[in-house]
Amino acid sequence: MSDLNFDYALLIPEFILVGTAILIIMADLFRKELGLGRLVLPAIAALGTIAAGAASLAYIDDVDDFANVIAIDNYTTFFRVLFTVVLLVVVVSGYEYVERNIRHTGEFYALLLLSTVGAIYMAGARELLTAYISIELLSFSLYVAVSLAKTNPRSAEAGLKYVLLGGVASAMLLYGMSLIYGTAGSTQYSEIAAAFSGGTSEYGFALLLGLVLLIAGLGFKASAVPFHMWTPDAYEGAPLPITAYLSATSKAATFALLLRIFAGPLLPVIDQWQWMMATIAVMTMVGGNLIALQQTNIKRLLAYSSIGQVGYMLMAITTISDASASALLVHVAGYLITNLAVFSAVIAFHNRTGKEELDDFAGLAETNPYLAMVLTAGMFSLAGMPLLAGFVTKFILFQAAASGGYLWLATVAVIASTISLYYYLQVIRRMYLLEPARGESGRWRLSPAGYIATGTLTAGVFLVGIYAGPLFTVADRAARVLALS
Amino acid sequence: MLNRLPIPAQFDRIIVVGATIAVLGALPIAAVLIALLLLDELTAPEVVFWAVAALIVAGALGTVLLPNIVHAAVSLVATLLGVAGIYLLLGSEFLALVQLLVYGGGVTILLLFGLMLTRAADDPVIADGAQKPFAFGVAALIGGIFVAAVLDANWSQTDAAAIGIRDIGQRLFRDYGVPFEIASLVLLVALIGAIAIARSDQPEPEAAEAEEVTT
Amino acid sequence: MDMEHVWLLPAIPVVIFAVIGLFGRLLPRGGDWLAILGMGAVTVLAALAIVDFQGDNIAVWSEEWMKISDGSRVVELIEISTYVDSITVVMLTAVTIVTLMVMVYSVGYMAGDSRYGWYFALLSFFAAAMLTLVVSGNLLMLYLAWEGVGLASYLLIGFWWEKQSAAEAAKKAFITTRIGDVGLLIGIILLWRGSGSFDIQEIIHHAESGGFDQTYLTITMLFLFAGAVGKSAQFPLHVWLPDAMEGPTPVSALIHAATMVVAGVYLVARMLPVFDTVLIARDVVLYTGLITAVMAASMALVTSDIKRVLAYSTVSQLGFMFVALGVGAVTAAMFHLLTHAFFKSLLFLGSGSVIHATEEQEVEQLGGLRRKMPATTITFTIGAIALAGIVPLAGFWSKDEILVAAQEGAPAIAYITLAATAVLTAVYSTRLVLLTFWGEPKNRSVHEHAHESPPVMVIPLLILTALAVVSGFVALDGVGEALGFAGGIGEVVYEGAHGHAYALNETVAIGATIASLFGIGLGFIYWWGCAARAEAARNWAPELHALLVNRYYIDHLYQATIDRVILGLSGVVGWFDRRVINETGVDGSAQGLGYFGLRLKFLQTGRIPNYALAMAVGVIAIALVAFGTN
Repeated sequence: MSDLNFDYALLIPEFILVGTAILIIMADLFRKELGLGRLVLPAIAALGTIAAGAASLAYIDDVDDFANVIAIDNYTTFFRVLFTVVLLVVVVSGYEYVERNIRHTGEFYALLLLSTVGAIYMAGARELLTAYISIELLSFSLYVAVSLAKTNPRSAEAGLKYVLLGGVASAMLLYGMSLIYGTAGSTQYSEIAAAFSGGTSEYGFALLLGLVLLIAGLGFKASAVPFHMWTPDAYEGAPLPITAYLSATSKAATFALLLRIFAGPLLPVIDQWQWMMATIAVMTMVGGNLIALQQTNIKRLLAYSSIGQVGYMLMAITTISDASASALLVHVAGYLITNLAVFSAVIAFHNRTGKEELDDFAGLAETNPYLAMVLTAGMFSLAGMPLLAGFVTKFILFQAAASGGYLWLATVAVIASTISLYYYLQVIRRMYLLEPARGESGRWRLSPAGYIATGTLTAGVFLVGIYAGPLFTVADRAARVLALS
Repeated sequence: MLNRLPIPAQFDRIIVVGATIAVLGALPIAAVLIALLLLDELTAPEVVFWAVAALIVAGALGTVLLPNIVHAAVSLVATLLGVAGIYLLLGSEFLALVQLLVYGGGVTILLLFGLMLTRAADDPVIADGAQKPFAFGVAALIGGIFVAAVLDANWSQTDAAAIGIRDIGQRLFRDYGVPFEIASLVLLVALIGAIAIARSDQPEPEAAEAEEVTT
Repeated sequence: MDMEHVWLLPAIPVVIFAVIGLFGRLLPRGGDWLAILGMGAVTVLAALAIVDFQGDNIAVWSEEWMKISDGSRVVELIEISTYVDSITVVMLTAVTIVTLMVMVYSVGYMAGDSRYGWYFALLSFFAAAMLTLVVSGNLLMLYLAWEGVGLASYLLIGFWWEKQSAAEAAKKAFITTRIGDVGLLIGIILLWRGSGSFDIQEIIHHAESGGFDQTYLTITMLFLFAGAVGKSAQFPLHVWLPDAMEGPTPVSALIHAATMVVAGVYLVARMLPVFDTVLIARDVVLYTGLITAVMAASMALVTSDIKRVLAYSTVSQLGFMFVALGVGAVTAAMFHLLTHAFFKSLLFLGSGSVIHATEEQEVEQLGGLRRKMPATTITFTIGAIALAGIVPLAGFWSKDEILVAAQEGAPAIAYITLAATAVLTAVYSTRLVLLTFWGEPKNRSVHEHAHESPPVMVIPLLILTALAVVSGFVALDGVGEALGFAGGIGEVVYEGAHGHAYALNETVAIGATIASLFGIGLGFIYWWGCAARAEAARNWAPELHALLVNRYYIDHLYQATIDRVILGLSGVVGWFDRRVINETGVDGSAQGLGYFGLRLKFLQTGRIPNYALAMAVGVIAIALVAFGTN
């Protein structure tokens, strides 16, 4: 017991994030006395995020752990950097929106920072309890953040819905974890793997039920069908930056956790869960993409589109292998960049017009060709068009699935992905082929932050699409930690 | 069916029926347990276990089914006390004590305070929708599945020796210090959230001033 | 330039695309000169590379693009690679010359358009993608370029998006070809899975050495062929090409006649050694081509839009090429591809000249233009004769090659069908020329302001006319030798055993000529002079006429399928998600909902219990299946 490693230096990035969160709350309290301008809070948040992200880079190629509960390895580093980047993007592209539409800006930024800590520990946890409590940290922050919009009457309702259903999901997750603990006799990933690799026949239904509940609980967080119903409501009700954050960090963190668990402790029992994952993957990609065809609100459309994307990612978990693990990391990163580009554009659009129905995008190519271009690139990337991030990452993902013996799954994914093109085109068609609404045909510009965020992300979408080599290398190094054969 | 029972109007039908069922149900359970104990089929701890288990289940049912939310909250106390009993049976006096103090005492009191302050208790609302029968069916199925799973497994046995406070402290604050600290962050978030959501929507005068300062 | 550096060819236009796309507003004339100069340079470089080719050498060049490693060993290396052989050379010739001609022509045709600069940027982008497609040495890069030309086509068909029909056509083209592209992508992944490589030559080698399972390879090649069917507008995915005529006419000439639509032919030609190892797949190619050829030609007979006639004609001629590939005659297919590129782009540009002058593209409104537009009339007529296949114009030689190949390598039905299609081809060519340029003007006001097009449009027409006349001669030994390819095209373009020196098969040649002359005669009988005989022909079999006018009801069928099946399915799933799960719970009783809503305002739209119930049902379902199967 005394040989545990208590090197607190391993947790510096999270200390920075939590410290920044507390600093922001303090600054918010004394804003009047100190005469702080409205840019101060987002600036502190951004600086803290950058500092945490930069500090994360110090751990590259470390193979270490904190007290046997948090792994500090390339996998954790990958997600530390990813999540801090997402946070930075959300802060930069969203501050104008936050200023106008959020009730308590200080608390808002603090919650974002704290939730990122939860997300990072979801990726880093090597023990079930830590994983669970990290999920709760992320979820609680988001429950609150979803209800903070002051202009949208649906915000509070969405928050309530999210918290109640999230509670149900957490209960399932905890049940599942306790059943797995009960069968394996430990919450440590490594010990669970050791326990299960010796054969599992004596655990019978208990282990199966544990797996089902684990998948259901995490499926809820990842919004996999049939545990997805909260997603469109929460996306629609939440403030836009939080919607972006939900679709990015929340999802990626869940997959970070899923991959770590299913590629580690649960790998010996793959025969028991593989078909469950495959079933859910198919339902998710087909269901999400089909329902997306019916949507008329951009947030709901993106919600269902993200559900479809989750289906592809679940496919990678199903066909778990070294190749698909690294493909999943690549896809998650590419998807995050693309999705954030789209959301940054939608936020910029909302800042200007205050609207979010698909029909409101009519004629955007005329009133703001730049933004229309950004959205087009983003949508095409989500649909998986070549030369954009979405194609490369999806291609690698599908290929990994196909070579992992799940050809039929990859085929379903390709077909689902083709269906998705239809609704993405619906948005593009409106922007380019319809006239702007009467009296709104004047040109307009984005704020500087809007240009920076959308420009950088769009460049990222193209960069990953054209030269993805470095991303592959990084993802490879992260996935190697999982030591899959 | 409930309406045809000869119950005076001034009584809450559900309470009367529920209490009757509880008493009628408890009597045979008690009788059977005592009989088994006397026949040496069960040991004393086992009898206690089944009694406590019955209490937990009854309390949980009451929490879900009672129409008056204050009644439901009190019924919850029974469940929480039952859980403390389970801890005792497992030889973990400290946890049993904590369970009693924190849940049986603190949490329940807080809950009742909350209900009274928000006057939710004045206007009892039956939150059952049209899907009630389905919900019963689904709950029964889930229950069946859980029971089947628990019975089917060959659980890994651990030493049932009492776990001392020192051990718990070591585990909680040292080995699992990180999840403990994360839990404290969760509480921080919950606190922030409670305040942020509850605070009024009035535009803060200082915010407006701050904007003027910068612009 | 030597052949190793063909990667320069797509690099030039892509840079120009970026420059015009970003700074087009600042450049004089929107940067059209830049695009044309660039394309001219590409043409010259391509010509140099072709000279370097000298008949039989093959050049390979590759560079690492990205690699996926598995710990220490490289699992997969994806390369940028180029591969130049005879097939590439033919494609390069067609693509560079036609693109250059179209760009020059567009200076006149698109003059005054509000997005003039953007148009040239898009053309450059298209050229870059098309050249990449042609020189690509691996399937992944080919697929990228494949989607690239599709995207360029989408943007150019919808270039005048103010027109609702153009927007719809663009979408239709994009989605229809995407259906094929899915097949192509699946095919590529399957080939990779079987052979472990994206490199085309390695895959061919793997297939020839029997490395694939036969059934597996058959299915794979059918998927791959689906991509070709979509791109080359073959039955049953031919529906998008006629609609694609909503784009600017030079675009139709470039993309929808000479270059992009032949990408499918190119793909099959490139992969033919693999097709050869699974004969069923090759038969599918053959019969797809055959059905398409005759079907499209028959639809061209009754179409009244001058560009749509040409579109159907293109589909039909592409069918010819697939027939040739189906019998294994790469030479014939590539030869026809080359000549067709010249005479069909000539016809399209000629029709563009007519449309430019009259702003009318219904043949029912045209007529008698020969006096007003002599240059267009002559060039268009020559193009039409080449299409009909009259000696000594280009179409005669290449079509003859295909007929010979079909006669030798396929069941008699193929030869007979092709001959019949040749008659139909001659008929609609004649009809088009007669209705447009001869006879009396049918609409005075249209005729009044018709005028000959400016020189910048006429000169490309003349150059293409010259090519339409002479390009067939490359089949002849002497001409080939003069150009540096001993033995003519037959010796140049071949794969293994399929090549043969060109030899005129007199029987076939005479038969084909008679068929063409017969068709032309029919055309004259019906459409020369008064319209009464055409009217009579129409009334002779009204059902048949209706069938043709309605394009065999295939478009209707597809529309209905999309409306009923896809959107219907989506509707059902969406409805289920919305109503059954989200709103009412599983019972769906309105009464329950009312009660619910009344008593529980804050949950009214929330339906939280229903969501939770659905989650629980999901858990139960999975758990029960799990318990049941273990």
